[in-house]
Amino acid sequence: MAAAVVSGVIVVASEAEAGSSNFLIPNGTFFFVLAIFLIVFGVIAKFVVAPVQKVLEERDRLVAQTALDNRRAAEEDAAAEAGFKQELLSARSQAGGLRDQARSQGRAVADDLRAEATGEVSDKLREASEDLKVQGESLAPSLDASLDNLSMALANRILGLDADTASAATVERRK
Amino acid sequence: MVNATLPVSSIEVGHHTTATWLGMTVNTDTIYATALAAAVTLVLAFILRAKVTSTGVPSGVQLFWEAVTVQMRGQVQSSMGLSLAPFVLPLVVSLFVFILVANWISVLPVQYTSADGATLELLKPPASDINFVLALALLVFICYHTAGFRRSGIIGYPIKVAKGHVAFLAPINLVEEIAKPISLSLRLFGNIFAGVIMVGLIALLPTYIMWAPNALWKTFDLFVGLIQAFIFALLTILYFSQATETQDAHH
Repeated sequence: MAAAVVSGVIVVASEAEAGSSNFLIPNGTFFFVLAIFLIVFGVIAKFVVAPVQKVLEERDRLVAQTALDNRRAAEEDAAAEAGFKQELLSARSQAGGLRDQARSQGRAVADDLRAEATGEVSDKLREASEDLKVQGESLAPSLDASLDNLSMALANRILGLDADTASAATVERRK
Repeated sequence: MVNATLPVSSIEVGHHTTATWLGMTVNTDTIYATALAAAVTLVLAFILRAKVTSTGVPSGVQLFWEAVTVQMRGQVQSSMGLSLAPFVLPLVVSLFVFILVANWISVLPVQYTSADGATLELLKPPASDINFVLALALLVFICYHTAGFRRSGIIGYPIKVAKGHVAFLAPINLVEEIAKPISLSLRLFGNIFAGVIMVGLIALLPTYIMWAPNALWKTFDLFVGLIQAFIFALLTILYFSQATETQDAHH
């Protein structure tokens, strides 16, 4: 079969050669094909490759821009986060300071009040003891006066004397 | 053997419908197919031009062009850098898409039998015509040598090309330089031309079974067309990078 094909090719080729046109020898078609291709080349260079390259560049630029924006946004985000943490930390320490201050102030106030109260208590104690002393002193003479009768009554009771007689006797003795 | 030879000889290899335009013999089928490929490419280009956007949702056409441009830009950047020859990127993008569309316009398995019994495709891939591949390869050849001259100077560039990396290999370097456009064009030509021959061979099968290998082959031909378009563009980049590299730029 292969030999037959080859012989067929040779037959046609030699026929073509005899007919003054070998299909392996270029003819005028060359120039027409060249012209057609040059038109295609011109159109593609001007209307395809140039705009496509522009589009690709533009897209690369957009991608790069987006990446840059993303990075910048991430940086800003991180900075904001750090600032927030910083603020939080300072606020916390400030709050701690305030708390300590309040606590010390409270303690001072409590101490003051306690001291005041202690003073008041001692004042009151002193006053009360003085009152008591004054009262005791004022009561002492009247008690001394009633001491006589009391001691006599006691003695009578011990001696078993009637109070009236005793008192009469007493009165008599006094007389 | 006689029975086998009879249908095989009816395969038309390299047959073109010709006409005389501007005093030149031209293969009209190739030119029509090339023009159709160019029209498809241009329509895609103008759709992109009308709807190109950098901030909105890109259309499918834009995604296609972007994918091709990004891929080719990566290749150019990794082998020579974009700044050395700024027209390389549009050139390889045009080459890739144009060759791809040209290879793929023959995907429709539309074949007809001519009056003399030969099975022909309605749309033959233009790359199965030597004119198409030579036009592209020679254009690339001239362009990368121009870039080389501009980079290394009128005197310096031929010396650099001949000397290559080792001076005593100069004859081989010259042969290699001549082989470049030939291999570049014939690689594409051979692959696509083989596809046409395959279709002709498959067409010899009885009709009730022909569709299966035809569908299989057309599918594979899509892959071949893609790969060949990519290789053409890739080699173009490589030739440009070889032409524009300088001695001190070796790494």
